[in-house]
Amino acid sequence: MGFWRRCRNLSADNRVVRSIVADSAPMPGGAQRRIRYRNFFLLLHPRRVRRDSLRPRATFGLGVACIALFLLLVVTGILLMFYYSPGTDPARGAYASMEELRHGVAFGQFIRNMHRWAAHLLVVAAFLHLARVFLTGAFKPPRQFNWVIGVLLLVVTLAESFTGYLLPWDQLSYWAIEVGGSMMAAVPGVGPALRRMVFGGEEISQTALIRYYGLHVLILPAVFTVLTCIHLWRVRQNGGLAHSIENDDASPQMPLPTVPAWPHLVLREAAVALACLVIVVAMAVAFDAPLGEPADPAHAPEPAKAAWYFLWLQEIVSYDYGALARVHWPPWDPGGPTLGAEFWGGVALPSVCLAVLLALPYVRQRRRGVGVYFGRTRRVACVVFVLVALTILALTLVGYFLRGPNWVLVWPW
Amino acid sequence: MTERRLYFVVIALCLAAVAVMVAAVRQDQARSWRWYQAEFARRTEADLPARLGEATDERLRADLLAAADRVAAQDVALRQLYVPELGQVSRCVSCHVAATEPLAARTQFPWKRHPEPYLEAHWHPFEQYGCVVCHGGNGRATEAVAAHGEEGVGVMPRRKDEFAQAACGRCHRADEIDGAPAWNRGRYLVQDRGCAGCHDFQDAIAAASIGPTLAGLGSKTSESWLTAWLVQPEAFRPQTRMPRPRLDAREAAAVARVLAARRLPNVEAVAERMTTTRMDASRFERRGREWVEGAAGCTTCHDWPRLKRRGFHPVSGWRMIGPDLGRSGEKLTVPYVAALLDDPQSVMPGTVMPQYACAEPDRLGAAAYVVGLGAPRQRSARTVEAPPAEPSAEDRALASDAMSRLGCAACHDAASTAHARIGPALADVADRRYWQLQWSAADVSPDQRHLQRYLEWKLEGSPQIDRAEASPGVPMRMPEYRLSQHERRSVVAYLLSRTQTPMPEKFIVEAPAAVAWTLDGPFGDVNRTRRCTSCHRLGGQGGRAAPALDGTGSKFSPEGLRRYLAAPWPVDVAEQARMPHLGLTPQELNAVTRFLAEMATDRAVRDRAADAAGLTDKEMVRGESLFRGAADTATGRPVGCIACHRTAAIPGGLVGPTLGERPSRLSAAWVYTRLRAAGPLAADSRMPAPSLGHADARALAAFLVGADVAAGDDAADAPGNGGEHD
Repeated sequence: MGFWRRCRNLSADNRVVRSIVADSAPMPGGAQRRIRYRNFFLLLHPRRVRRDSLRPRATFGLGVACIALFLLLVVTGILLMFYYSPGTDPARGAYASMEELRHGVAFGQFIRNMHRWAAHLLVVAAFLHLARVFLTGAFKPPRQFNWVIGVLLLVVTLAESFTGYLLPWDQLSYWAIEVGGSMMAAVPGVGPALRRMVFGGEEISQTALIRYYGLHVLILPAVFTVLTCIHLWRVRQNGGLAHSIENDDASPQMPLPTVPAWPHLVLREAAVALACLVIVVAMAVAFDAPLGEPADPAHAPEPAKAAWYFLWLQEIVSYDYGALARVHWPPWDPGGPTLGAEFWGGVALPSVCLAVLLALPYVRQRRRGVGVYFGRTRRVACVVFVLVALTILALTLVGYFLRGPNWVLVWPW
Repeated sequence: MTERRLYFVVIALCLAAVAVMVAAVRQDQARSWRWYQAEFARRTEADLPARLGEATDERLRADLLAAADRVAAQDVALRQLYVPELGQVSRCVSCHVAATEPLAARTQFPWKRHPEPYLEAHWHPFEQYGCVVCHGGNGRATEAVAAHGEEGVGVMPRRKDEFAQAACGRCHRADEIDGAPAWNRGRYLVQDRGCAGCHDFQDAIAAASIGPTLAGLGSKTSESWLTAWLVQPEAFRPQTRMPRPRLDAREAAAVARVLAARRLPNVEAVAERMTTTRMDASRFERRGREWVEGAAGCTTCHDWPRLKRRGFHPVSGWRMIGPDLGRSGEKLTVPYVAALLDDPQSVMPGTVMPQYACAEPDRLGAAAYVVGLGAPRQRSARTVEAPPAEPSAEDRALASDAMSRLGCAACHDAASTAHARIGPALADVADRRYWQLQWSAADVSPDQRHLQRYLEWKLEGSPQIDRAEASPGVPMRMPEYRLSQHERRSVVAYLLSRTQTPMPEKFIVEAPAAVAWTLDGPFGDVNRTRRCTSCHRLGGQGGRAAPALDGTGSKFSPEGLRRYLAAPWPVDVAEQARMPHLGLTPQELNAVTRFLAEMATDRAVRDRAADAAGLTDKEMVRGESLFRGAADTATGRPVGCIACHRTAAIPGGLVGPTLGERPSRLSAAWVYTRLRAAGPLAADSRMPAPSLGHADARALAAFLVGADVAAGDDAADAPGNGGEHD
C-alpha cells in the first residue's frame, strides 16, 4: 500500500478531514461531474436552487455583496496603481501621488473615494455576513470548514484594509499603522522581531511602505481570491444554504421546492452587485476620502487613532489592567518585561477571539437550530454573540467619537 | 417576487447606477479653473476692441492683438510648471491665467496681473521659477482653498503681499535686496532693535551695542529717573528703541539703584571743576543756544519741541538719529552733557555722535541749554544730585539676577561684556512646524495655527505670551516690543526667510563682494572722532542720514570740498538737516579731501573727464542762456534750469539747490556727466532726466562751474551756496 493511499485511508475516517474534502451530496454520474467542472459559471451556481434560499432575509445578499465589493476594489485598485508610487519622498512619493490624484488626475479623487468606501463597506459586509452565518447556525456540520475559510477571509479583509491604510502616507495612516505596530510588538517574546519583520526596520519607513504595498496589491488579493474560490466551492459542495431540515431532530420531509438558477438567482445577485455599485459611487460622489498632512515620524497627532475597525481594540488597550498588567514575561522571570495593556487588549484578546471563531464549528457538533435566526435551541449563543458584537460596536463608537487628546473622554460637539 | 418584477428591479438599479455615474462625471468636470480660463478668454475677446481703441501706440496695439490671439488659441486645460531643481509644481496659472499674459490682464482676481517687475525675463520669469518658490502654498492643488493653504490645522497659507518677500531672503544673501522692501525693513528692524543680541539668525547681522553703555549712569542721570525708565521707557520717550523689560517693581528699583551707583570719572571731573571754580553754566546759556541751533548743527540729528524748524527737507530714508532732547532736563546732568560734547567716545563708547572742536563756554552753555530744554526753569542748572544711598548686597544680587536673566548685555555694552545669546536660535525658524510652537494660551482658532500667524502673534507681545511661556519659575524673558502692525509683518517676512532647507545652488545669489575698506590711515583717524560714517555711507557701510560718499571724489572739486567742510553752509535754501560745523583742523581737512579724491571716485565721471575739459568763456555765455530757458539744440525744447534752481545772481526756483558759486564746489566732469544722463539721476532725486547733447552739457557745465581758460571771476562771486543735492 502506497504512502498516499494510507494517508487517504487514515484521513477518510477523520471528521475534520472529511468535512474539508468530502462532498456531502452523493457523487452523481460522470456526465454531471463533467458539466460541473467544465463550466465555470455552473461551478459557481447549481442549475437549480431552493426557492427558500432566494428570500432576501435568508442571506440579505451579504456574501454576494462582499464579492461585488471585492471586484470593485480590484478594478479601482488597478486604476489607482497607475498613479501610485510607493515612496516616502514628499515631492514624488506616495503623498504626492495622493495630491496628484486629488488635483491633477481626471476622476482620480473619485476612484480613490470609491476604493476607500468600498473597502470600508467590505469590512462591514464581511462582518455582517459572519453574523448572519452564526445566527442561523450555518457553521454546523457539514459546513464547519467553510466557516473557517470565512473567518480567514475576514482576517484577510482586515489585513487588506490595514495594509492599504498606510499607503497614502499621511499623518492619519502613518500613526494608525504605528498604533497597530505597537500592538504587534506586544506579543511576548517575538513581538519586537515580528514588528521589525513587518516594518522592515525599527520604524515605519520606505521599507515598510514597500512591504505594505506588495502585500496590499499582490499577496493579500491573491490569497483572498483563492480563499473566495474555496469558499464558493464549499458552498456548492455543502448543498447551498443551511436549512432547518438539516437539524438532527428534523423529521424527514418532502424535497424542498426549487427554481432554475437562471434567472432567479443570477438576477438577484446582479441586483445586489448593482446596489453595491450604486451605494459606493454615491458615497464617492458625496464624501471625499480624507487626506491628512504628509506623514511626519517626528510628530504624533493627538490622539493617534487606529483605523476604525481596530479602534475597539485600541479602546480596550486604553483601560487599566491592574494586576494583569504587572505579569512578567516569561512568568517565572521577575526581571523580565511586563505584559502590559497592549498584550492583554491588543494581542491576547484578538487571538482568543480568533481562536474561538476558528474552533467554534468543531466544539459542538450537534445540528440544532440550523437554518433559522435565533433558533430556539441556540438562543443563548445568539444573544451572547449579539451582545459581543454590540460591545465591539459601542467600543468602536466611543473610540471614534468620544476620545480626544491623551485619549481622554470628550464630547464630540 | 415574480420574474418580471425581478427584471424591473435590475433595470431600475442599472438606471440608478448610470445616474450616479453621471453625477460623478459632472462632479469631476466641475473644476474652477475651467471656468476661470474660459471666462478669461471670453472677457479678453469682448474687451479687445475697447482696449485697442484706448491704445495710442501702434506697437502696443500689435502686442494686444498678439496677446488676445494667444489667449484665444489656448485650450482649456490644466496649466502647470514643474521646476525640477525644487521638485515643485506650480499650477497656480491654471486659475491665475493673467500672470503669464499680463497684457490681457483684468482688474479682478484671479485675472489680475502679477506686480512688476518680479516676473520679467531678467528677474524671475515664471517659466524658470514657477510660483511656489516665492509664494509657498500647495502648488499641486487646483482649487483655491487647497492651493492657498487654507485647509486647516498646521497648513501654512500661501505667502502673499509682503510675506512673499520672505522667499527673497532664502536665495539672495545680500543685506539689502532689490524689490523686497518689507524684507529689508524686517531685517533692518531685527538689527535695529537688537534681536540679534539674543537670537542667532545666521545672518551677517552684527550684534553691536545698540544701546548706550550702562557704565557711569549715576553721573548721567538719577536713580528715580532710571526706575521710571525701566518700568516704562516709552512713557518718557515714545520713539525709543528700548523695549519694555519684564521687570517687577522691586527688581526695577534694585537695578536702578545699582546702575545709579556707577560713576564716570571724566564727568565727575567736570562736575568737580565746576564746583571748585564756581562756574555757573547758565551764564553761557544764550551763547550755547546759538551754537546748538546754529553752527553745531545739533538739529540735524536731534529734535526738541521748542525748536522751530523752518521747513525740513531730509534726504530720503533719513530719520532722527539722535534722541529727542525735549525732556533732557528730567534726565541729564550739565557736567555729563559738557563731558559728552568734549569727547563723546570716552563718555559713551561707540556713540555715533561726532566730536566738536569748540570752546569750553560753548560746551557748558550748550549743556545748560540742553538740560534746560522742556524742564522747569529752576531745575535747568541742576548739577549732580547728592550721592544716592549705596545699594545693598541684596539689591546687587537682585539686579545681577535680573540683568543676566533679561540679557541686558545683548544691547548695552555687548562688546565689552561676555555675553551669550540667551534666546533660542532662529536660523531655522521658517522650518518650524506648527506643533513645535507653543500655542497653549494663544487665542487663535486651531485651523489658523501656522507659523506665520504664530510669529505675528508673538511679536504682538500680548500678555497671553506671558501665560503661554511662564511655566512655573521661568518667567518670560523676551522684552515687550512695541511694533506697529506694518513693522511686525516686515519682521515676520524676514523671519520666514530664515530656513535651513537648502535651496538649489543655481538659485543662490551671493551678496556683492563688500568693498574692502578699513578706515585706517589719516581719514580713519578723522572718522574715529568726527564720525563721518554715522551719517554718510561709503561702500555700503555707514549711516543713511546723509548722502553717500561714494563718487563724491569725482563730484566735488577739492577746493570746493575743503571750503565746504571747513564751514558747512546749508546747500538748499530750505535745508535744516545739514552738516554740523565740527571745527575740523587743516590736517583733518587735508586727510578728508585727499581720501575722497582718491577713494570715492565715480568711474563714469572719470571716463567723461576729457569731454568736459577745456571749457571756454563762450560756452559759459551759452550756458547762462540755457540756464535761463533757451532751447536745447537737440530737441528744441527749453532747458529751463531756472524753474527749480537759482544762482547768487540769477533769482530762480527754490526746489533744487542753489548753483553756480565760485570757486565751484562741483567738478565740471560731474556736472557734464549728470547733464548727459538719460535716466533719473538718483533714486531719490526729483530732477527730470536732462539728457542734453554734448555741446549743451558742456555749455551748462561751463556756466555752473566756471571756464577753465579764463579766470571766470567776472561771474557772481558769492560765497555761500553750492549744489550738493540733485
